[in-house]
Amino acid sequence: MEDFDKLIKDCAAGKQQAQARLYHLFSPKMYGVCLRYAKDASEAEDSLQEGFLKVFTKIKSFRNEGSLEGWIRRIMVNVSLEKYRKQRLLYSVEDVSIYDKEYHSGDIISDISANDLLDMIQELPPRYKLVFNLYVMDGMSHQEIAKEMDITEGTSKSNLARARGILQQKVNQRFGEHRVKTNTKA
Amino acid sequence: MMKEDKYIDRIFHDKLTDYEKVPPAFVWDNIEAKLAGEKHRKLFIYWRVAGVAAALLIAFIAGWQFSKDSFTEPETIVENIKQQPIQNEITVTKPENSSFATAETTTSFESINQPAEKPITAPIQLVSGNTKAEPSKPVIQKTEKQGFIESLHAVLKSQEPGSKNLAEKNPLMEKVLFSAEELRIIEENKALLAMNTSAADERKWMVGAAVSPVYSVSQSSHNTEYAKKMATPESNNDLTMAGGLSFEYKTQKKWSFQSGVYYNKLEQASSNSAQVVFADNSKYGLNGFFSTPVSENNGKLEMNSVAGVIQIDNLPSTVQMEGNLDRELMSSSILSDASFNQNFEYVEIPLFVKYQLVDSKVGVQVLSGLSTNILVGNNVYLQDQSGKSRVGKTDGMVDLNYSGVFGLGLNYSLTSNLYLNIEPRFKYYFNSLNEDSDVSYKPYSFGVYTGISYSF
Repeated sequence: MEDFDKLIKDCAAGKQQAQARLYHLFSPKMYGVCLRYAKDASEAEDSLQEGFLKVFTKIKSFRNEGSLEGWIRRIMVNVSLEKYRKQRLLYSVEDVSIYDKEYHSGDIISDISANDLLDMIQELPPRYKLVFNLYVMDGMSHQEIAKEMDITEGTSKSNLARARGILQQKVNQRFGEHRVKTNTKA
Repeated sequence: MMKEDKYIDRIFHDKLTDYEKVPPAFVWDNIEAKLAGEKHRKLFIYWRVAGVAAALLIAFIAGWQFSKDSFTEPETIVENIKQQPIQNEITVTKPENSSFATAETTTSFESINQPAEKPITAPIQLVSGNTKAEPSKPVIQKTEKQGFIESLHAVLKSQEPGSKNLAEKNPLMEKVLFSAEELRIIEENKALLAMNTSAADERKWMVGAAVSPVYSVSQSSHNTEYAKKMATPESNNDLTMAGGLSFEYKTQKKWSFQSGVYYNKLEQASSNSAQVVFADNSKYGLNGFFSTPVSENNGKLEMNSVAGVIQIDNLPSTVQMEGNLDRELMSSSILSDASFNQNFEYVEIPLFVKYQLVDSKVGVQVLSGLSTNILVGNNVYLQDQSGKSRVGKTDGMVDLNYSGVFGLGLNYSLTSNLYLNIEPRFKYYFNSLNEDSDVSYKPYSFGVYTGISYSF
C-alpha cells in the first residue's frame, strides 16, 4: 500500500508516468463498472474516460480514508449518475411493460457468463438499470438512491422490482423455461 | 418472495462484482491528450493572467509617474518664490474668468539689483482667493492655503537679473518679508534640494548579488523516429536555483546597463515509457512494466530523451535490463521503476539595458537584454528506489548558447546606497541546446531574482 501513496502523490503532481500506471491498474475493473451502467460499450468508454479525467483532477483531494479503488469506483458511479440526470428528460417515466415475475432455479447459474448478464443489464431501461446497479451492485439503500436520482423511495423500490422482473425473464428466455423452485439458496 | 429477489440479485452480484474488461486503447489516448491539453491550458491562463498583471502594473506606474510630474509640490513653490526677486513682475491668472491681474513691485534693495547667477523663469501654480493684494507677503501665504481655495496660475518672470538668494543676502529683508515659520521651511527645502541634487549626480556604479528559484518549462520537438524510442518526458515540478553577482552602470538619464556572472541550472526529468502492462502484473505490484528502448553504441548504452541522447556509462546494480546487449545495436529495455534526471549547469554572462520608470524610495525598472550561456556541467542521474546516482551524460549538448531575457525590477532603498532588489525575469533560448538534428530542445524559464546591491 505504500506504493499507492507515492502513486497518488505523483498523479497529483501531474506525472504522466504515474497517471498511466494508475489507469492501467484500475481501468479494467472500472470499465466493468461503467459497462453495467451504460447502454453499450461506446457509452461505457465515454464514462470511463470522463471518470478517469475526474480522478486525475481530483486526486489531490483523495484522503486515504477509504480504499483508492472504492474512491475511483464512486467517481465512475457518479459520472454515470450525472449522465442519467442530464438525459432524464429524454426518457419517459414508465417506459416498459410490466413483466410477470418468473424465477429461475439455481442449478444453471454456472452456465451463465458474466458477459451475458452484462448484456441483460445494459438492455434494461435507463432508470431500472440505474436503480438495480446502485442497489444490488454498489450497495446503496433506497433512501440514498432516492436522493441521488431525485425520485421517491417508493419509486426506487418499484423500479428495482421491475428491473428484477425483467432480468429474471431474460435469464429464463436464454436458459429455458424453468419455473420457480423453492430450493433457492438465498 | 424475498428469497427469490435475493436470488436474482445474487446471480448478478456474484458474477459481475469482480467483472473486469480491458478497455480499448484509444480511451487512454484520449485521456492522455486531454490531460496534456489541460496542462497547456493552465499554462496559457497563467501567462494571460501574468500579462494582464504586468500591463496593470505598468499602467499604474505610468499613471503615478505622470501625476507626480504634473503636480508641483508646495515646498518647491516656497523655494522658488524665495529665489524670485521681489521686484519681479507678477502675473496672476485667474482661470475662471480669464481676467489678468498684474502687479509690479518696485522695491529697491541694493542687493536685489545684483546680477543673478541663475535667472529663474518658472511657471508656478498657486492657489489663492486674493489676487490683488500686496505682491510680496500674500504670495507666500498663499502657498499655505493651497488646496483649499480656487486655483490660479501665477507666472513669475524675471524682469531683470534678480538676486540668487534674497533672504540670505539681505537679513533685513528676510526679517521683514518672512515669518520665522516660513524661514524654517525655506531652510528645510534648501537642505532637501541640495541632498537630492548631490544624490542624483554622484552614485553611478552599483554592485550586487542575487539568487533566484527558477521554474523551467521544457519546449521541444523531435524527429518521429527518435520520438518513438524516447523516454517519457516528465513535467519538472522541482525548482532549480540560480544566482550570481552583478554590476551596473547608471547613465545621467534613466538608463542603466547591467552585466555580471550568474550560475544557473536546468533540469529535465524523464521516466520509462509506460506502455505495456504485463498480464501477470499483480493488482498492487507496480514492478516490471517499463519499456524504454536502449541501444548500444561504441560500448555505451544510449537512450533517447527529450533533451537529447543520454549516454549511460554505468548503471546501478539495482536496475534490471532486458534483452541481449552483446549484439550491436540490439534494442533492449530498462526494466525498473526509475526516472532519469538530466542536469545542465550554465554560467551566464548577461548584458541588460534597464530603464527607470520610477525613481523614489521604491524604484521600478524594466529590463531587457541578452545572455551568453556557457555549459559547465552535463550530468544524468538515475533515481530509483535505491536512491540517486550519476549514470552518464547527455550527448550533443552545445557548449555556448544565447538567450533573451526580459523582466521587471523593483528596488527598495534600505539606506542611501544600499538597495533590496526583486527582479522577475523571463528567459528563453534562441537555439536548441542540443546540436543533434533529431532534437530541438529550447526550454524557457522564469525566475524571481532577489538580492541586495550597493551603489557608489
